[in-house]
Amino acid sequence: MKEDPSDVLDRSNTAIVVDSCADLPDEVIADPNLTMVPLKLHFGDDTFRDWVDIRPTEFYVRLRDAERLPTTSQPSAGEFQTEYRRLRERFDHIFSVHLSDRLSGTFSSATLAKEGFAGITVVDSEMASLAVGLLAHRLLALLDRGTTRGEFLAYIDRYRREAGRLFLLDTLEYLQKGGRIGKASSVAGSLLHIKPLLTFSDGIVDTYKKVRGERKAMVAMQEYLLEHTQPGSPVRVCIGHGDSPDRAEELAALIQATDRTIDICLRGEVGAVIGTYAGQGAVALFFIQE
Amino acid sequence: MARDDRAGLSVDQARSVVLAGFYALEGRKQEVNDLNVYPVPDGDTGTNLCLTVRSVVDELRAAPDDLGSARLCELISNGALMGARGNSGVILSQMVRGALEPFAAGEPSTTETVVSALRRATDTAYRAVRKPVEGTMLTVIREATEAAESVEMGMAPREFIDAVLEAGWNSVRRTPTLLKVLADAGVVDAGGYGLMVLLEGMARGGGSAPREEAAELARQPAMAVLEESESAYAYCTSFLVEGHALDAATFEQALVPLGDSLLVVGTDSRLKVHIHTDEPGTVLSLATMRGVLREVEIDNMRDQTAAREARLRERETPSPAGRTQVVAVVVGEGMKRLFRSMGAAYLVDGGQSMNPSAEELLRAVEATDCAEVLLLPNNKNIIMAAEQAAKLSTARVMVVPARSMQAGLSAMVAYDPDAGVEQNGDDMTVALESVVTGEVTRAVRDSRVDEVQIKEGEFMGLVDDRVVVSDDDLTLVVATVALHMLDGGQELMTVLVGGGADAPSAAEAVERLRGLYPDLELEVHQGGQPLYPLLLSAE
Repeated sequence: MKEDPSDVLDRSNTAIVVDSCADLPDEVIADPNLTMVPLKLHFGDDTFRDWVDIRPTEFYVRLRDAERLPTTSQPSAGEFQTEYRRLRERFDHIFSVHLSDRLSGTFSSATLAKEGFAGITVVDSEMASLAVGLLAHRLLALLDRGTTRGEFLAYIDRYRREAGRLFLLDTLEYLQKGGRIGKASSVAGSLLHIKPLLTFSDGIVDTYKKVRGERKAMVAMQEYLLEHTQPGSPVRVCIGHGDSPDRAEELAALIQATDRTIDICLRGEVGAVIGTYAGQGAVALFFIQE
Repeated sequence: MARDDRAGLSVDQARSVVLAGFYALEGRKQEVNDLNVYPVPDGDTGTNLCLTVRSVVDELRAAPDDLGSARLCELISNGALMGARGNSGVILSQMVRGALEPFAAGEPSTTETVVSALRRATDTAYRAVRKPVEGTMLTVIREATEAAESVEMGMAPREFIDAVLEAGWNSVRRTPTLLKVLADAGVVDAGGYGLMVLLEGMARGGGSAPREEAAELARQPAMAVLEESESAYAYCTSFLVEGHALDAATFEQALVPLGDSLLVVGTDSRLKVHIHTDEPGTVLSLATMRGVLREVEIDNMRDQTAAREARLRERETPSPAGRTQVVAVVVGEGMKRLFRSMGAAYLVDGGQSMNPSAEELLRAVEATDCAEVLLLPNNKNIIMAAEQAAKLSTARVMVVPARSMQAGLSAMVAYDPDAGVEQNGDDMTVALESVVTGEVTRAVRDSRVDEVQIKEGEFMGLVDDRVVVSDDDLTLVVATVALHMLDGGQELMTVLVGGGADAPSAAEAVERLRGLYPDLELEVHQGGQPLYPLLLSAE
């Protein structure tokens, strides 16, 4: 079928596909218009499907005891094809939204898989984890009220440009060992315990600001939200964490204490594959103002 | 007697050439230290060469401008001998002595004179070493000399210099083929490498870009090898003996049974001795029978080896040179490691009671070869010199007015090598504003400052340069300093433990703060700074 910007998209005709690196919580995964394709995690000879066979709690216990770091692998094109084929029987339009092409081969697998299918749009979010999760969550909200293809794609573009994205890791060790450190490498060797606030820029991990001390980092995250939003229209916020719910709570309280119209519409945990690079103790803030 | 302007050396000439060499070497000192596996992996070849040249620099600074060539050469030669440290330093001092002979004799500064200076340097250095070993700085100076002797007469000076330097670097590259311990460690000889850095700096000026191949030669050695190649002896011992009719050869014979890496050089009135031994006491008593001892230094090489290995293990992944570089004034090995780990590219030795001059800072700024430079004086008495250096430099320099090293460290947190100098300068200066600093030191005399009665020998606590306490009880002093520092919601305290005898008990006193302030993040590092058992910052 022909793709036109004026195509009407709603829950009856449109599906969203994500990969497991969107780190979406169960209640969103259960959405009938959403399908998740898992990446894989390898602990030695054991292979797990991210979020399916291994949940965050179990993962962090294993990570602590592991002698060697786990490795990860993208879904195959075949796995995407199976889902695309199944979904195309029910839906006219499929938007397959994935973590940054510069961080994983997942986007390539999906792009390869869509060959031969009509109606499939593969999107490189240029981000990862719940930053992609929040995008998918917002796209589902657009389907709720009905939208057009043109509006839908424009939202994705605006999200890529404008969405607030900031995260704090306890250590850069895992990012470095996993080879995903990007431009954040300049602080990796520091002997002082610097907490870099990281962001995604151009699809890779970059340093936003360096601070020392937990509290200062949290306050810097609050300031970041204030700098990137105005009072008035609602700010859709996602707060994520990697096995550190207390920090997530503290951040949520700081965000809600601002004069912005805060709607914390999504809370989630960092899954095993992202956790392999983020390590334990991550806390993340993603948002977009309507 | 009429003076021939071309004859010999002028003080000005010598100053500019030696300073250029010194800064080149200073900039790559750590690289040289980390290459050091022969004769023992004590990791101080770079430091030793630097201190040797530094001593010449100091002599030249103090020299009258109109000193004659012969006196000048004597002064330089003496400076090198006085400052010579370690094997490499002593050998270098002999090269200097030999090289100066033609200039002392009043020969003009021509290519021919340089050739003969190199020849004398080589011969003097070889003579000084009891059993010359190839694959060391001896080989490097010899092969550079041989290249100089074989160039065609009448070659342009520039080309001549290029050819000699080229031959020297090639020789450095070949050192692992001559000395197995180097090949095993996968490194080139540290002394030879350091010598070429020095010569290149002297020939081309301090501000010239270091050679790419030089950096490539300074690859990190493999750790496995280090663990096997410690010296058989524990103490690196060096000193000067002054007396009459001293005989280097007979004294050397007397010392041979006591150790290795033995060097005895100098004149009949002054000898420099360097030996690795287990019996420094016996060595020194043999020396006192011959004359008066000066500048005695005894280093435990096992400690040096451990420090070097720790440094290699801690080494950060080298980051690509950014847009803006940092020059910082720092003292203390631990402090240097911290500053380096945060991306400070060039460190100038100095601090309390050893303030570098504006000229030294300027040279360091220029050695970065970077158009945008941040300068951290890290001491309130150095800020003016830093500002002066900033004005004099052709690079865009911003002084981040850190009044102490611990404040400078806090500013470094905000440093972003990819941002411009103004952006960095602003961010780092803002970072300084939220830092409270503290210091603990020993009072050197009785006095009354800031309403506090101070007795000599007491521990004195300062917060932001103001004396807040003075007492014999270190625990009390540390607790009082912390109380004054932590009065405004600070949540993180960084403590840098000094290098002196009081440091262990001071560090213990700091640990007690954990009980007093359970919510405080307390980060303790070895700073190794002199004079201050503790430097603290809170933010």
